[in-house]
Amino acid sequence: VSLENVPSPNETARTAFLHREILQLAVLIVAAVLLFFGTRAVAASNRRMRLRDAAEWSERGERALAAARLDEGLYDFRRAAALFRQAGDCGNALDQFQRVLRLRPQDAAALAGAGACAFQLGQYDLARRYQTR
Amino acid sequence: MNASPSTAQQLRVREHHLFLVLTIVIGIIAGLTAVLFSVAIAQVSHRLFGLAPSPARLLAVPLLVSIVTGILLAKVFPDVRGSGVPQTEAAYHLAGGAIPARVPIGKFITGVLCIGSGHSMGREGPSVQIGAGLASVAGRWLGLSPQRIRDLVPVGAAGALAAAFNTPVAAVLFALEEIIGDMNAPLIGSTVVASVASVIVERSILGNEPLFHVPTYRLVHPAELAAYAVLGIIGGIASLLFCKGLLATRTLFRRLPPATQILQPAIGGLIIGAILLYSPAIMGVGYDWVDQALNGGLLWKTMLVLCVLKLVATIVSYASGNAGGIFAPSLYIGAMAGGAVGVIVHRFAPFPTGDPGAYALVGMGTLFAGIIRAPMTSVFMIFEITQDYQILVPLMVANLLSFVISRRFQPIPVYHALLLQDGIHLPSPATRAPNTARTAGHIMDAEAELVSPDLSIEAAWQWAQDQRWPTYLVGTRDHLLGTVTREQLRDASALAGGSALVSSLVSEGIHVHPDHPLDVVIDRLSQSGGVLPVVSRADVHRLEGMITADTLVRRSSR
Repeated sequence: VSLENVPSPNETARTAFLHREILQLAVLIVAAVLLFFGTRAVAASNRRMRLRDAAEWSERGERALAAARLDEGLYDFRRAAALFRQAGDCGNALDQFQRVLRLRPQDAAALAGAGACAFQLGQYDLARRYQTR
Repeated sequence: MNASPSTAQQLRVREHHLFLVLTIVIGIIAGLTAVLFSVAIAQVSHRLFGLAPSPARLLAVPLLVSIVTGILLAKVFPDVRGSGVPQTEAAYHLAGGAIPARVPIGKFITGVLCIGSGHSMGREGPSVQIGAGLASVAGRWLGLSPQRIRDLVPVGAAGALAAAFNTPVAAVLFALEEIIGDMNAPLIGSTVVASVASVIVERSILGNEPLFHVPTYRLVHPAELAAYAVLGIIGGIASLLFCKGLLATRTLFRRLPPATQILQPAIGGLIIGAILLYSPAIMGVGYDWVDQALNGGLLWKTMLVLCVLKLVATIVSYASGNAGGIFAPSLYIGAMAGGAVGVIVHRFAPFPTGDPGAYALVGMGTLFAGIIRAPMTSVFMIFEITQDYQILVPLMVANLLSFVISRRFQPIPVYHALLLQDGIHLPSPATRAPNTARTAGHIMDAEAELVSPDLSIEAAWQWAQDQRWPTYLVGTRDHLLGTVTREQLRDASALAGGSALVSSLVSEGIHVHPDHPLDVVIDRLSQSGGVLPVVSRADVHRLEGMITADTLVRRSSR
């Protein structure tokens, strides 16, 4: 078959081509939707992992305090607070910030964190007290 | 069937709409993949190291995993080392946006393994390459025109970066400023659409939390600007140290015999393991530690040590050929440097100052501006990842200083310098020709006379005496070695009797690329010895033609 005998693509062929494109686009959209649910599931398991880690840091902090290792305890509570906050668990994050504040009442970072968390939880009076301390 | 003009027009309009829908879909896919990439790294890292890893584990994990990734990077996915941003730029400018399907797949797998196993590298550069790669693959699968396929590359890159950092504005700026290299690019519409689509989907999964939580920092006293300026200078110097160190170390690794290439990531893994033993804080992306520095939770000595260690570790990880970026490390190094400076300023400055955290924040920007060299992106990036508007003025001052210092002493940005090491010369805005200009490619002589490198110096000297020009190209068309001058040949043939080969005299001379405009050609011709080789951008050893003063006069007057 000589290539010269192949007709140049006319508008009908181009229409068919675009129809095929729309089909392919639909496939891409389906792929995107599947990817969305897949990613959401993995992200949810990641969040659970962070929450478990946060809880463990908090326990470590308690153990460190029981053994009178103050600095280590502070460090552990800060890690726990940051992880809870990243996972979107403001209630527990506030609790961890408050543990830091019990040890160091003027800790600027913990005050700011506790204030922001209290604000997000809707406890505005508490938030104001932390933010203005 | 009869094709009326109106049908053709309708079809064009439809292709336009199709492209718009495709932009949204690509943005979403790139964004989701970036989220998946970062989550996968966190999972792998958690599985490999646990919460508080033992010393044996810290030493063994990077080494053992790097042996596996070394094999993958050498045998299965040869073109996915390093950041991915320079490779994406090269694909956009030189390959018409064509990125093979194995690149995004390979980058995902090797990136997760490298960063998850503790290598001190970032996840954003790889995300950009994965996003751009998926966009290019989708474009080709849909059979789009070459121009559209090329256009999809920055679109995918913007979508990926927007989701990786939760920074829609900075992602658009980065696609324009760094990938395309033109802030006025007509693609701004598509990149904005992709970035918005990507961020909406990302936030629906991860929530609209900024990457870092910081208290609102502000400029406390006008004199503080001077302190921020000093921080900018320190940031510029640290950026230079990083860039020079990275390029030099990479040269060192590249000089090792090619057979060792498969093992080089493991050498890096061993060194990283040793550094992790000393301080696990430099592991992986390291945003937890940046967060602490931003919130004033670290001592200044700790921050200083972490700054130096992270700098060294990132250089080792990158130079040894692992897959991962330098965005996150530059933010980390900057936060630590800035935090350390902040504590000192806070303690000794005669005027009231902000918290050290504010300096850590500005420090992040200075290193980003100095290393990545995208000044607009760096300002907006820091603003968006902390959502702190108050600090913008000191941030701009410090970023600019760092950028200027870095540009003064390292004229070629590190991404482009890395490509140069691979023999790829990207067009820079300064040497890019306007569309109407005549270029080196138009006027060059495609026929070039070459001296064979295997010729003896004596024979070459005999030949040279009959030539008009005092400089000669040495090599073959596919592998140009450089130039040699008539004086060099004369002196060498008189001195050594001339039995040595010409190749021993060759020096890598000045060259132009086919797309260089005539004023660049004239400029370079005057610096050359009279003969200017025209070489390919994709491979600087491939000769396309040559230009002499004679050609310049003869051809450009036509």
